Amino acid sequence: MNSKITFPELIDAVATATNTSKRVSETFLKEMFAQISESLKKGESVKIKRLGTFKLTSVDARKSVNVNSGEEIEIPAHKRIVFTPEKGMADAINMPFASFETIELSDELPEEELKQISESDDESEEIIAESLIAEEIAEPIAKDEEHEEAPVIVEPKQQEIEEIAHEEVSEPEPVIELEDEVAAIDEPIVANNSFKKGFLWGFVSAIAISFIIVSAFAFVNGLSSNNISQDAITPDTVMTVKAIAPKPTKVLTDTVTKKMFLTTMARKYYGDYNYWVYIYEENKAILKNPNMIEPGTIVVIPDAKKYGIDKNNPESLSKAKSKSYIIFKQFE
Amino acid sequence: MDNKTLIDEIAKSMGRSKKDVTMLTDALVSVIKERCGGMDSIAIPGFGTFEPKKKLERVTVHPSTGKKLLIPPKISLTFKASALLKSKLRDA
Repeated sequence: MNSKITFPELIDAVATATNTSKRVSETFLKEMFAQISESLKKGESVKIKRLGTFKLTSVDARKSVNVNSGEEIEIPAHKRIVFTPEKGMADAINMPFASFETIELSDELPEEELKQISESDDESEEIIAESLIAEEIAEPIAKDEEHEEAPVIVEPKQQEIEEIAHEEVSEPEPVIELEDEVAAIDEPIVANNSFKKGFLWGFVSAIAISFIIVSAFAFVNGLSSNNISQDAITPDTVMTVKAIAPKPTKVLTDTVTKKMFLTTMARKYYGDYNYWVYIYEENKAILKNPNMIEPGTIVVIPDAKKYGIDKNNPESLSKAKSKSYIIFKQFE
Repeated sequence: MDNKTLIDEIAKSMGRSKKDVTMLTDALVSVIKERCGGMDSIAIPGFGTFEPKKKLERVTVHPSTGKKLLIPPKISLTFKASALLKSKLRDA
């Protein structure tokens, strides 16, 4: 065990095994290894039955460092002897471990690791889904990405403008207070009824009226009293505007951008991207091909109840899907 | 050089029959097998050393199936060429 057998011992062993003299055994062994060496020197490989094969493999030149001096040296390309035991020999040597077999470990992963894997899988699926949506509604070239902002309710903007308008109106006119307020109240109503045009008209008329009043008032009174009364009146009039403006139908809108498609909106407002068809339906007048919506297009987000949108109801979901099929069919 | 030519060469230079040489070779092989099987190493001057080496178990990944495999420990017979043989080869 673990001892080194010297050449004389080997000679003895071979001699006893073959029942020959030590001399014969010695000359044989010397001749044997000399022949092998000679053959290897010629560059040939040597095969010995039941033992194995001696082969030469070439080793490329490589750089190394002299262990003692630390100098860099180059080990030139050379040949190396490789011994491969024959199967019978290898098996005989490996006898003590012959009973072992290769075991697969794939099923022995700890549960936590498996969980992590499944989680990451889900995430990637979602990402894929999103990118699919992105492809679904291909966006034409758009340079502004500032439209990313969340939905805008139209009213506040109008209200602001109205406020400004009203302030302008009330500013120079302290005396004819009543008229002024009427104008202010009229304004939003007009705006709501016939939307933009009406609003514009109201705005213009309000300015015109106030201008007339101002010029008329300038004759009657000095400008000195203006400032005092203005402060007192403005809050009041603004209050009335505020009270009236938010009342009309709350229309939720959103802007289509490079990153905000109908599908993304649908997911945001209804919880499932399949419901984009109803946003499309609601904005049919301004939208044409759902795949070619100009970024910056403002669309109205309809109320979920209007189309019976319920993401937990598979029926409404399948309805939306079939609707999308019909819509796409139109633009094929 | 295959086994047959090697035996031919040895028989020629030794002046003995192929049968004897074959018998001697078989004896040598069985001695190596027996002694190396018992974890002994055999040193042959001017040629090299036959040494059985124990290799520990290890985990590898199958390149085509990607499955993790536990490779069991094993003993393999190694041969280390002596410095003399190496220098002979280098000069050649």
